[in-house]
Amino acid sequence: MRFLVAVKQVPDTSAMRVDADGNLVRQGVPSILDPYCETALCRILDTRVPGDEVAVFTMGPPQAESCLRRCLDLGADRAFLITDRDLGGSDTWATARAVSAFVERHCPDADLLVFGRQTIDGGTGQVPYEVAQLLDRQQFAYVTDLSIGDGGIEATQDYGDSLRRCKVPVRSVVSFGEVDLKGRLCSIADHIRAGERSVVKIDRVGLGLGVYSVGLKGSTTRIEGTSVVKGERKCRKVRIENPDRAVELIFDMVGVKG
Amino acid sequence: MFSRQRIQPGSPYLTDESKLTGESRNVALPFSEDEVREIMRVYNSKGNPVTVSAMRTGVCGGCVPMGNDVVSLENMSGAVGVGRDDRSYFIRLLPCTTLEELDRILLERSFDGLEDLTPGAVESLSSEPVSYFYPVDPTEMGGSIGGNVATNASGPRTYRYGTTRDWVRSIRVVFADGGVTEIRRGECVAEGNRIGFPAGRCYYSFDVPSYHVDGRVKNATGPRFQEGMDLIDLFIGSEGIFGIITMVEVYLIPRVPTVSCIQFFPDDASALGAAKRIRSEVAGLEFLEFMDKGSIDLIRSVMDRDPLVVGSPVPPEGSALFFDIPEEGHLDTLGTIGEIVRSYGSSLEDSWFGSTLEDFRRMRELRHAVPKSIFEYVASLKSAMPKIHKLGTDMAVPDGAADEMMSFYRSRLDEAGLEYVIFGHIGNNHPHVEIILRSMEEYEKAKAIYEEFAAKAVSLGGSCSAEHGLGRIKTRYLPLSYGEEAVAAIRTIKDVMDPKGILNPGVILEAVR
Ligand SMILES: Cc1cc2nc3c(=O)[nH]c(=O)nc-3n(C[C@H](O)[C@H](O)[C@H](O)COP(=O)(O)OP(=O)(O)OC[C@H]3O[C@@H](n4cnc5c(N)ncnc54)[C@H](O)[C@@H]3O)c2cc1C
Repeated sequence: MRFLVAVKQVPDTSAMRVDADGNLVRQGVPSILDPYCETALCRILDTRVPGDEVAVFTMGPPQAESCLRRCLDLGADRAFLITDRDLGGSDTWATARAVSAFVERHCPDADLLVFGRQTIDGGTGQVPYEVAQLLDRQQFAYVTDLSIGDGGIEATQDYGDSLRRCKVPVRSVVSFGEVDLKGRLCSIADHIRAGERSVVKIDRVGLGLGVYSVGLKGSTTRIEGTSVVKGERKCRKVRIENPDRAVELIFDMVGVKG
Repeated sequence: MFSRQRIQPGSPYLTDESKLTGESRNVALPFSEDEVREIMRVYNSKGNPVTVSAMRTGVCGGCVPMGNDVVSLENMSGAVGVGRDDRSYFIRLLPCTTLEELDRILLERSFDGLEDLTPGAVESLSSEPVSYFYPVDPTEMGGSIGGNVATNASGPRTYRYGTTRDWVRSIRVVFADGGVTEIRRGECVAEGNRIGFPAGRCYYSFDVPSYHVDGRVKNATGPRFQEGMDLIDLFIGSEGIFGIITMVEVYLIPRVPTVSCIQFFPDDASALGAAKRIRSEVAGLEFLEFMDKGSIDLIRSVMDRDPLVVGSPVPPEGSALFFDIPEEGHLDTLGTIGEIVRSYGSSLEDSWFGSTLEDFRRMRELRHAVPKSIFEYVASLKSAMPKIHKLGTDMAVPDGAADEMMSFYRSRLDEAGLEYVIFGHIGNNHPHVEIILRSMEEYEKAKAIYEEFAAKAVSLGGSCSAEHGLGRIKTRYLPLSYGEEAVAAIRTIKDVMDPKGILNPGVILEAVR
């Protein structure tokens, strides 16, 4: 099996603070490998068997190499950095276009394209499905579990109110819906081995795309404004001394059978 | 007029992380140095003692009041200004600024509104290519800089960077009578064994006690005196008995990019053996910490419930060494370490490597979870056993005595059938032995053994309190370490500086009967 995992370097939003004027403080905020992407990669690394190959790629500025280095530390075999000034400012569609071009030109034989559901910075959650659309592949979102056996690839998808177990044809796009609470640390030996692997850099020309298909020029999204959506919550205060009764009540309220 | 509040029973002002509990009726809450001075004038005029309290993360009960009022500095926090001298940049802080806050200010470079203590210093520090940091790392980032100076705090990074004392440029101190002075290192030193200085309307002078302290062993057992001493050293490590620190300037250095590693070993003996070789063969270690098998078991047992470590991977069974090395040249360094650990039954496959802030945070918090879970465990025993408090050693010994001390710890505790974990600053021969108490009988037994440990450490040329200070709980170690004569000499200085004995009575020096 050849897995190709998409990752992104993002600012660590959990380390961001809002200053007295309500502005986000970006100074000193570290860049990290997006937790959704890291989880997706780790699930694949856990799934693979000897002989499989796991490649990772990211599109971003030259500094994004450090997140690929982390992927190599964690156990990825190969890494590609798609980087070019012309790609700066890409919206989700222009990103998907660049990513699809990369897959077709540089990893056409990948058996599975793997993404995280979204990233913690933009969080639109559109790129994986746009890539699937552009490459005309089947897509499987909100995957919680992936296994490969004699019967081929199988995935469990979590739709919130139901789980769906399905067969995944080779060459599909799969996106993992979760973030592992327990992060992963590689070993010193993994890190030393990873140091022997290099990161392949690819620019716009290497993708075979024109200036007008990528970056700001290739992006049609215009942000008119942003606003906070206020959710209404109902609140009911109940005083219960007996913990068992409290559990029952919570189960009743959320509609779970105890 | 300063603000004063009633203290309710069970108030946090009545305890610290030692879980010793005290009594007090009122807490005075100054917002400025002037208010601290006013408070001291009022209390001194009536001869009413006070206990100085900051963030109460101390582990020796130094800020726990025994009937007298509390002066809590909690409202005096934040950075004031930045300067630069021949040594480096320095930052001026109010006493209750926490290390966490200091670290955040430096990392985010949030210098807006800070004063230029030397021309252009703020602008110049902001535009440095790498951010600066304060390298003393007493692991508990919630402690205040004033508390750190008062206890001469140190920690893992003492291995490379020394203790708080080495980083303090200047302090401002309010005395028992409300007088105030600013002391900068190098500006007032003893002539031989006599030191004198003016403060307000007073002129203080006294003889410097002449007990011997081995400068190579970590030591926070009371103030450090020596011939030709600097006046600032009277206040660093004297836990507030001579004055209240109302401002601190500490030096900063450029952040060195590092990588973090935890190396696992099958047993404690292999980890300790490897630690010795790593110390002698590997240059540039930022720190070297040990976690014995019991500590790792303890971490594993709290992994699912402690929010601090819930996001960390679960460590394998066995013991571990935790160290940071500079990123530059780290592959070569790791190669050397690999050869060492192989000869102790481990391999670099059995390790964790971290290169991002998130990795560092995970590893640090894992290490911090050991003392923290013990402190919480002791707190949970308090309702059933109100007299109990934490019993953890803080002793350091010279290089040649490390093995003997370690076997002594183990043999005495094993003979007594007590449960314990050993972790901490192995790089400075300063592991902490935390005794896990289950009953008052065990507590009494452990207390007796603890005394043996202290005596043994002193007999080996070590210190009884290497970083936590003496507070109220460990006052008996002052005579044990330096003899009654030295204690009498310190008492004489206390009488000169605070004739009515109103500042932190019972801290460092046993309360006068
Ligand atoms: C989990 C944990 C781990 C720890 N690890 C370490 C460690 O590795 N190394 C280490 O050194 N310590 C360690 N400590 C102890 C503690 O963090 C330090 O002693 C710290 O310096 C105390 O600061 P504080 O602000 O909490 O002071 P407090 O506890 O409030 O006071 C400590 C003493 O200093 C005096 N004091 C405080 N502020 C002033 C002031 N401005 N002027 C005069 N006197 C003052 C108080 O009267 C008291 O005697 C640890 C604590 C915890 C809880």
